[in-house]
Amino acid sequence: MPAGSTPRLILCIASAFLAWWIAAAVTTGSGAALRFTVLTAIGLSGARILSTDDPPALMTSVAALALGAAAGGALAGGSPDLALYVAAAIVAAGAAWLPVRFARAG
Amino acid sequence: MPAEPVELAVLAAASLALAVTFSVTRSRRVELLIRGGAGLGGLAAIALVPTLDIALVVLLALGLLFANTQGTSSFALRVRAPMVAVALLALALAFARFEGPEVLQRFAAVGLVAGMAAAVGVLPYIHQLDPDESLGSSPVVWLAFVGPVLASVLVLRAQQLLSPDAGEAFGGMLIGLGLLNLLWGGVGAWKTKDVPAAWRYSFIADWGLALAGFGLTVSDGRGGALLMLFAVLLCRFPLYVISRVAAGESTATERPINLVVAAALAGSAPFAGFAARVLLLRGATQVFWPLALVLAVGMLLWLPGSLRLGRSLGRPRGRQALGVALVIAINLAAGVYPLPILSAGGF
Repeated sequence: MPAGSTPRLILCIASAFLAWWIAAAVTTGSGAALRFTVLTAIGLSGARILSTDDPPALMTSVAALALGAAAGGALAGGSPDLALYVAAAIVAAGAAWLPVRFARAG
Repeated sequence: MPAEPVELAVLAAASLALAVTFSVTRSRRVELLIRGGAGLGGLAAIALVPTLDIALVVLLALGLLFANTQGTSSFALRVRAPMVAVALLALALAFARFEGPEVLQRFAAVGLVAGMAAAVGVLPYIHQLDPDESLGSSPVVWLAFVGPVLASVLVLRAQQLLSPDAGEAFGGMLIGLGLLNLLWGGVGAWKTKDVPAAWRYSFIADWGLALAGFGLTVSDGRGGALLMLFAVLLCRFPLYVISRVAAGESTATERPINLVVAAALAGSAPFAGFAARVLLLRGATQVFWPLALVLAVGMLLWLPGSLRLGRSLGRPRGRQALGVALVIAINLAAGVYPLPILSAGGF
């Protein structure tokens, strides 16, 4: 999507509507902070994964995605699922530690 | 403990055993065993963990490990599809849990279907295939090995997660996506020039039927989907592995064995794919009979592609011939008497 292209313009307008809807619906009422955190963490890390080829940036986004997905578990209500948070923390830490292998030529 | 995902995980283990046994060289076998074993551990965890949230974290770890295996395509390219799938599924879970208008539940249904498609690698998220990629780092792994267990878990959990209206929308989207993949995969396997790409399209066509079966809310439809995934795991995937060996050795031939393989791949009687198709048609007739008509027409598309794929096996010798015979025997037994497979899955 090059700058000034129609798909990019449509994406910008759609994103603006989505942001407006989030502001109107998701960030009001009780538990708004958690809802906002989950949506933005997952949305932004997912978008970053799609927009970069740089392994460190990808790994950071993957770690954020793991933590965001685990935070979403708290939206279910009830007692916190400790196993979920521990698993997400291990994956996030592992993503930061894992050495990236580069593509083999040919 | 959910019966269907556990059964599919056991079938995935059998599929891995066949793939390892009939792989070409000892070094490849060891490599496949290590990677497949790790993948199988992840699959077992996805099938057995108590919540979908933990299954998503396991899927994320699995995707990360898959992307970090040595291969010809870049890390960024391989990590993208599983991570997009996790992001879509996580957003779907969040929307399903927000208190608010019914439309949020429908967003959740869309997210679940899109996430499932992205993880498995079917339309509209077909993974990029490099024919020279080794099996352990090829995107076919998602279609043929990880996908069946994951899809089964997602469909089961979606029933508990979504409201009845959103559940209906979820089923409708699965049927629509299934039909799209069935047609796209069937035509692709027939018309594409490249044999590895034809194999990939044939997996997509099988997935089309499985998704349509998942979308049918009746027991026959779900049973048909289970048998379709059985055919993916224990017919198409092992034969694909053997065809990769044949690709380096000989040219396409048209012997009786190639025709038998083509019949098994096309889901002809009396193989497992035929029982799946009968159940799917019965299920579709119960839900909306014109759908059965569309499915029946779509099923004809398997024939030309399967003849082509059957020929691509060449003339199997030694270990590969044994593999083909074993796969044919398994599918014959499952096609003649599918009841144990259906009973084990809870149908």
